[in-house]
Amino acid sequence: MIDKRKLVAVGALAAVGLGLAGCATGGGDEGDGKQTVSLLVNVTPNLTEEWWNDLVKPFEDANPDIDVTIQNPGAEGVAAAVPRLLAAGEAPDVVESLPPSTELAPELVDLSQYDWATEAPLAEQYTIDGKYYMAGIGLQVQSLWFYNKDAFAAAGITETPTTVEELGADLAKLKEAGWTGIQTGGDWMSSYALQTVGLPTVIADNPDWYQKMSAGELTFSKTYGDSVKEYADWIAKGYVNDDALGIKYTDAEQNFLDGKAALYPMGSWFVASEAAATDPANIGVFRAPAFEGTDQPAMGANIASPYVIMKESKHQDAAAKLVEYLVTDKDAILNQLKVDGNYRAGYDYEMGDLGTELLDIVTNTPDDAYTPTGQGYGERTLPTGYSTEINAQTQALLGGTSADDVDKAMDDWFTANVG
Amino acid sequence: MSTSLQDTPNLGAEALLAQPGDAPRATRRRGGRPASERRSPVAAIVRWIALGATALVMLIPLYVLVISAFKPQEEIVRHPLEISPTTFTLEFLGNAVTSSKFNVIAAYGITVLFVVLVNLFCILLSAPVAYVIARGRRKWHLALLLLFVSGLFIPGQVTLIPVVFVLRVLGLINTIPGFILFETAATLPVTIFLFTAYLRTVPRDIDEAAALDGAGRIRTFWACIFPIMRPVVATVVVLNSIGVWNDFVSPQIILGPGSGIYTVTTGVYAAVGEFSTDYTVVFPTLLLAIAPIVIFFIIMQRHIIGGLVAGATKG
Amino acid sequence: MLTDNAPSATVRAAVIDTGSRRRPSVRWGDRLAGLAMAAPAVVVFVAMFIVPMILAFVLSLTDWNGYSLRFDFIGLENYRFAFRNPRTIDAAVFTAVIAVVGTILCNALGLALAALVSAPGRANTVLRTIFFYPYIISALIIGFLWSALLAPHGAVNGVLAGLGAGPVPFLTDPAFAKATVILTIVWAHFGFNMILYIAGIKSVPTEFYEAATVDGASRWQQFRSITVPMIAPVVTVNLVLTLVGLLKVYDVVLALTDGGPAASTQTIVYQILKDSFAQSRLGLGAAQSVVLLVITAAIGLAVTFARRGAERKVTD
Repeated sequence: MIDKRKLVAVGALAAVGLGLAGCATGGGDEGDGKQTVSLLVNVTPNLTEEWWNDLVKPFEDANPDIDVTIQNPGAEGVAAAVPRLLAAGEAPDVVESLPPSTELAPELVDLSQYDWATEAPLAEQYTIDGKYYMAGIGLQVQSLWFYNKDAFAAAGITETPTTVEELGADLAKLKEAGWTGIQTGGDWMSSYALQTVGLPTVIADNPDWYQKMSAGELTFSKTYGDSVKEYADWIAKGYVNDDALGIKYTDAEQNFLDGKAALYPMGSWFVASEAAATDPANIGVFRAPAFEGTDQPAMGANIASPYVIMKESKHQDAAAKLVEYLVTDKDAILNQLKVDGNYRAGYDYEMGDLGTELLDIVTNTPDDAYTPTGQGYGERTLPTGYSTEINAQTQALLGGTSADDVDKAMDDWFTANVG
Repeated sequence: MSTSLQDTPNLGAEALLAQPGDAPRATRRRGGRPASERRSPVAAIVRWIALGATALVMLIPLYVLVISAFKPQEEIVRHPLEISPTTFTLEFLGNAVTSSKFNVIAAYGITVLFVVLVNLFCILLSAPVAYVIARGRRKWHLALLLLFVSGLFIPGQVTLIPVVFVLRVLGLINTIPGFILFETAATLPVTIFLFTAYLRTVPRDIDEAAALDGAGRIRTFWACIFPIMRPVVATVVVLNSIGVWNDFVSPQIILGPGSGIYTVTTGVYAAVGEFSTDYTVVFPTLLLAIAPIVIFFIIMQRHIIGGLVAGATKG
Repeated sequence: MLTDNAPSATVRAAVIDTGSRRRPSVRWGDRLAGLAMAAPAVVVFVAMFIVPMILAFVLSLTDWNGYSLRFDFIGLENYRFAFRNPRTIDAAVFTAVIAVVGTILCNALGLALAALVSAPGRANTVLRTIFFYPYIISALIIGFLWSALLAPHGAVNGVLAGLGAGPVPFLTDPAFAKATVILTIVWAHFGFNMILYIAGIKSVPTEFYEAATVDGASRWQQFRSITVPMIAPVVTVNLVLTLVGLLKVYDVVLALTDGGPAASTQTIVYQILKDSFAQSRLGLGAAQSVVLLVITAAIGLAVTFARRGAERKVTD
């Protein structure tokens, strides 16, 4: 009787284990020759899970032997989920929004043999040792200032600024006219304004800034210091919303859309938010200027929705088919460009005035002016953790820490992280 | 339940929660302690002000949480302490119940399942080994106890990275069995320690009597000893249930997005994380998350507090 | 007391109980059964605790990035980096502050309130429940709750604005945010300390108080010279549990401030998990884990030894 009880317990354990394992594991072949390709994507207010499912639906219809499952990484995002999934041996087949890096490259399928990968936007910039590991659908442009046209008019500003100095003068006028100058926020977006102020000049002056910083050949304070000082000055003068650290990205965006601030540094995806907003303020956009005397300001940009295929994938051919569809099918591309306000030469979609203004900026920016932002990509990469560090230090600036202290903290951080 | 054996492990709790006249011990004590009427009126007033103020600090957040679940954002911000019939709405609570990010009902189900399974496996694994240790006379029995007790000093979060590695090798990462395995292991140190301490108070005569009946050792244990352990099992169940229900890091890491499995805590994190300033999402979601545990606590508080006291003072 | 230490109890049992030699015929069966009863728990524990602990040490010597199973051994580089990385140092300092200040506040409040509500009675029972309830709620949810209440546009600032007071930067100024994190932890935790202190106070024999009352000692004198020394073991338990518990604070910080503003409220576990998963430096995360493990174990053992001393004093 006792043994029976034990047996029952063991049996129950096994049954629970097997049963739950059965329903918990995803992927794999389903016996009838049908393949399941998993696609790990960033799910955002714009890119809902439903939207992703609709996007791949035509592909599934055209390829009845391939089943695509959308994986949602939740709040942690794709970049944090992939290492954990890889460590777990649960690698997805295709990952969206994970640009290749030297660290990641050994885990990715080399796509150099495919024309759709080598001819995709920014493909060249993202190569590692001459190999193409990703395929994207369009550009996200990042060094932009969106501005409230009514605010500019009220402050008597007739032309958008073309240098940082002019921008500073305009901010003074806006403040005089009673406007909050720059809308920024807490969480990840704090450093966005600082990078929009700094990168156009820093990269224009030091084209190999990323590589040299990583090699310890340049210091942060000597290259970025002027921009930090300028931005700290703006903060001190009250050009930035004073509750910045208490509000999040979604609030900041809403405030600007509601006309509560004059300027909003953000990437091209904001155009989509503006288009979707009910009754937004009268908004325009200008390219982020550099300090006086810079010939060609750099323009932060990155690939929109790049796709990579994991080497661990057991369905690499099916995965390649899926990516080819995502980056070459006209409807799929337009769908993806439109939903996040991204751009690609030759792919016109119906866009509002703001989108048209932005397209002008893209058209007038030469290819070699494009630079990565934040951590960087391809061979232009900074030590891991740069994005969170510059963000934390910008929050310190917003909290009243002096520019010198921030420069020193960043120098210390680079010293600790380089080499 | 009046045998001394069953009373001992919950000694603290019995004393603690005793109502007047509840137990002989409490009655005796009440007579012995200086009663409040002996205090000066000033001291009594100061005492009640201090207690009242602290109670308000403890209760107001809960009150705001509850009423804010039924108000629109504007009202939550403008009139945080009031609820008026004109702005009362069930809309946001409804949204939270049907949220696509956080399926509350599924999360309750999953979390309850985890609580039950972890408790079950924890007891099945711990009770026999605690018995062997408690009755053992050899060095390796002591070594075994020390091995398990060493687990008390290992913070669960810091072994998570290598546990991910191990679960991968076992093919159990991102699965419920993998999570149950880790969570069960995490409960073993305290459980085995409490079981062993308790079993040491159980006279050996009972084993001897059962053994003379010709029963095997395993049978002796489950049939004769285990039923006596009921109070300490209750303690352990309380400790483990609260621990598993509230755990966030382990399910977040072990049950990743690939699994699509959300517990109450990881579900709340997914639903509230990026929208923590949209109070019409925050408050209803938090209310849904805490309602079951608070109700459970109010009903079972005697056992819960007793279990925690026993667990802490002996574990 | 039931808390007597394990080794001596085992030794006592071994000395006193020699009866089992009566029936040598079943001893082999007994030993096999004993093995069968012990093995499953040992296997699970070793697989989920001991092996990972050893692995943590091994991984801490590598540059494992989590992307693959390929990694190189880089000696103590991760440890060297952790000890010179400003972020890790800041996180370690803040964690120490939380642990020390939090432990002091939790225990001071817990003991004070225990003294006030330890007597039986309906009102005291209700008060004990009110002080204790946050302890059973997940720290993550506590964090989200207070983050909503203390935000610039949250309830507390709403009430302050109604009183004409300016918004207080509870979560948006680094110094305030640090204090907020600690006070939130104390708010949720002191009830647990209080409950343990009440259990301790209840275990003090009433005869002591009776004698003291006869001698004309005031309540405060009784508390100081009878209660406090008599509950010394409970004090130590409280100190160990709070100190060791606060060293691994994570959930509440994640929900309350997410380590901000300006990374001012990152704790050591926050740092470990961020390095490990968000920045895929699992080797570095493992190295910091090992350091935390050693510190936790050292504090736990140190205070446990102190506790044995205190207990002996009481029982002697």
